[in-house]
Amino acid sequence: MTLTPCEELGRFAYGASHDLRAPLRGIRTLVSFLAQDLEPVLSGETREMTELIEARVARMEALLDGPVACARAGRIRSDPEPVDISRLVEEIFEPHGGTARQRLASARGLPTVESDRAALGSVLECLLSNAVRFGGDAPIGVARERSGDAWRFEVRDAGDGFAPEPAPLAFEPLRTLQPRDDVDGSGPGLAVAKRMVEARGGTVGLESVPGEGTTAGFTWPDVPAAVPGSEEEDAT
Amino acid sequence: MSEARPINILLVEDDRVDVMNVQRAFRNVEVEHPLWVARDGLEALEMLRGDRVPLERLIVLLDLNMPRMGGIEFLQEVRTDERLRWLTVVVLTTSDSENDLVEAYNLNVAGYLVKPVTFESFVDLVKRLNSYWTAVELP
Repeated sequence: MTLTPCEELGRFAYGASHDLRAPLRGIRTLVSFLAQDLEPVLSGETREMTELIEARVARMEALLDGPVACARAGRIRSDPEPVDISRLVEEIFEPHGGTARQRLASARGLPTVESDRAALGSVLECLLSNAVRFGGDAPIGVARERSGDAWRFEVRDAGDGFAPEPAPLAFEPLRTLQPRDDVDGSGPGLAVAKRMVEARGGTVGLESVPGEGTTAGFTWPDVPAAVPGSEEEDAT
Repeated sequence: MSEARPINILLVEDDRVDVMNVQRAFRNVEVEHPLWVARDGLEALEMLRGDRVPLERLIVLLDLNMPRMGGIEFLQEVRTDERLRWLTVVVLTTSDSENDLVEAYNLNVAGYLVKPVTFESFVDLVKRLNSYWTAVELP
């Protein structure tokens, strides 16, 4: 069997990520042992250190998920089925807890579209969880409109926003626009969403006005468009 | 069905941190079952065949990816060995690969557990195993 370059990269990413994860798991375990055994003598500062080590390990694990998720993102396909976007949005918000749910402006009135549920769900989840994490306490809204033979969805938050210059950078793998110790944004996030959208012939964009909020939007063509140069589609 | 009788445990595991994890989890649930450790399949076979581990009421906790002899190879050896073929083996691995799972069950493992990441969930797992083991009869 001949592998396309993308599949090869995917395999490499999977192997490397798996191998790097094993020592990390050891570090995580040992730190938790140390924290338990030293509990009686830990000071506030040393306890914070062990917590910081654990948080750094978790971040590293999230970073390792990135390349694998990215490599898979263009590939994952399932048969189209009716997807009720209102319900999908509510399902995505459910695990984020009460305070996040209160920030969701009504998700009613969103259409039901014929689509690949897993992919559309992943893209929406990525944009919504970004709004939850980076949008402060501001309300979050989901808007939709028809745009030719595609739906266009927008996730808006009225948070602090950010200066417009770094917007394109946000779609690069492993990029985060905030200090990591404020909000940990590590992970594949937008890069994966971008690949999923583009693999279906859609486009994705991010606009932000400091002090007014951030809008992340994408188009989702009705019929999955044939994708030039993505021969890996047949391999799954 | 007596709860006081010890179960003998042979842990086949090459990663020292994972061995510590098992030892600590056992301590944590106050399981006082004797524990032996082999660092790969070959060493485990030597211990089993050389009577360095009691075969009565023995449960083998088996990792899959190990140097020299991995878990699947070890199982193949055990299942074709007249003296050892009935051994109760539970796989304890980080591999969630469907292949490994099917292969292990084809070799009659009693269970297949994907190693949980956190110590707490591992302790929980060991508690469940322990209550199961004290409830069933073992050869």
